[in-house]
Amino acid sequence: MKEIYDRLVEHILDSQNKFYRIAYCYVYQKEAALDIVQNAICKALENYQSLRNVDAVKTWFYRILINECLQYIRKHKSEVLCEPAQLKEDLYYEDAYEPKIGVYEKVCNLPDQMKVIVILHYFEEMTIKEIAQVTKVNINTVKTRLYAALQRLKKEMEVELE
Amino acid sequence: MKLEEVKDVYDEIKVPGELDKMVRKSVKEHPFQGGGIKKNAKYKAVTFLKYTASAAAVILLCFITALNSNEAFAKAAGDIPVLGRIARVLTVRSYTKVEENKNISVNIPAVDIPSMDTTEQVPPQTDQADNQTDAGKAADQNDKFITDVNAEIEKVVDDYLADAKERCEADKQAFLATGGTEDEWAQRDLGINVDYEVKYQKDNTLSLILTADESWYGAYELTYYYNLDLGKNRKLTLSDVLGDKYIEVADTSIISQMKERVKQNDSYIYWGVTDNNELGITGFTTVNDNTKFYINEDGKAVVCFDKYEVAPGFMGKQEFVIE
Repeated sequence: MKEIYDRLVEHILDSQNKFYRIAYCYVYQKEAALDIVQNAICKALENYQSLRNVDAVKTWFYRILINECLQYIRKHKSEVLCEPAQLKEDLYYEDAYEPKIGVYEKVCNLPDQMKVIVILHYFEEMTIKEIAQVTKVNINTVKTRLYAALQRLKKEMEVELE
Repeated sequence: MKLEEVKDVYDEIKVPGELDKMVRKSVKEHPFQGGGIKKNAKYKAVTFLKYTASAAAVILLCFITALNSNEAFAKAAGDIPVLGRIARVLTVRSYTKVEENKNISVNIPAVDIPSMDTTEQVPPQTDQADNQTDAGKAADQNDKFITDVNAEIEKVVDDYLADAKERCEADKQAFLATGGTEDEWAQRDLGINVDYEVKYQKDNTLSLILTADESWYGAYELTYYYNLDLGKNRKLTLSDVLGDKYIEVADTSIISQMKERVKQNDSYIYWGVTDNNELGITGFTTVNDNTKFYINEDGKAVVCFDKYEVAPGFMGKQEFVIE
């Protein structure tokens, strides 16, 4: 039990920046993202006793985090918008990034199921297997959704270029 | 463009400084709980303790009321283990000695509460296990507070004695150097006195003063004031005794008393208050958190000023009872 607690705390302290960025991808506001991360941490630290396997700590926590993100959005539907102006505030913005920000926005606008996979795979560099554990779906489902997401993004960008 | 490149944008998301602080705070607030207490069981234990704590509080209230209204009961109460913690001020060190022609007389006080064995029997009406823990904990905090205060008193006395001896030596050297003889020095009556007086002791409030002086010189007299709330384990402040408006109340009272005293005594003068500031010496302006005071036997606050603090030295220490 102590081992699991220690591993959890270690994970939290080491990866806090990642947690923040993921949350930010959902709510685009500093305060909201902080709230989400804090809630996730508290939930995790209150309920880790249910964990049996110390290796599961990492994916288990991401699961809680994503859930908190989704819950927040559900509660604050009207307030959550990916605004380019806001993004420029919250990013270390450089002109060279301009086209990339456009794509980033599109990722943010993906449907939840696709979005989480893109974020975890491309931004957090998690393996398909890990993503399957976090999202509690079949590995093949993850692959399918990922492919669908890429197709969609490509299509949207083509539309823009035309 | 590849999605991997979009990762650059993602990596550039600013992480606020507060994040780390917040994370560490959250972790601190959730320390590891050995033994795997489940959430529900913990909640139940807390509720249970709350009930027994309030039961204990009710018993205590009844006890205090009984204590104040019945003398026989009060006497018997001194013997009940858990509830019989009544404070006393003892003279913990008292000696007189003659050391190289110095007569040193010392009475050092210490606050004392008869020590308790908290595993003794508890009055039957209360829940034994939890009452012991609660009382035990309170007793420990109380002990610590009292130990701290006593240590402070001892240190003050020790420091004073060391200083006084030094001063005495220095004076003696000066005396001899300017032509005095050992015999003449021996004839001076050098006394170093440390003494205390309990000014007020009732319920949980204790007020005592510690005085130290060298009798032949007189100019180095020092007075220390200890006003203690033994129930809450802290020192009392003027605002505790006089209320929120203590500054207003005390200032008005002190100034009017000063004026009255000057009327009664031609030679009296209170710097800055009764002299139109002719001498340009700053005396009394206002009381504050550091103002020294003690509680007299009527339970009134008495504000104290050292010699020279608010008036010329010949007037000595000045005390004002605040009604």
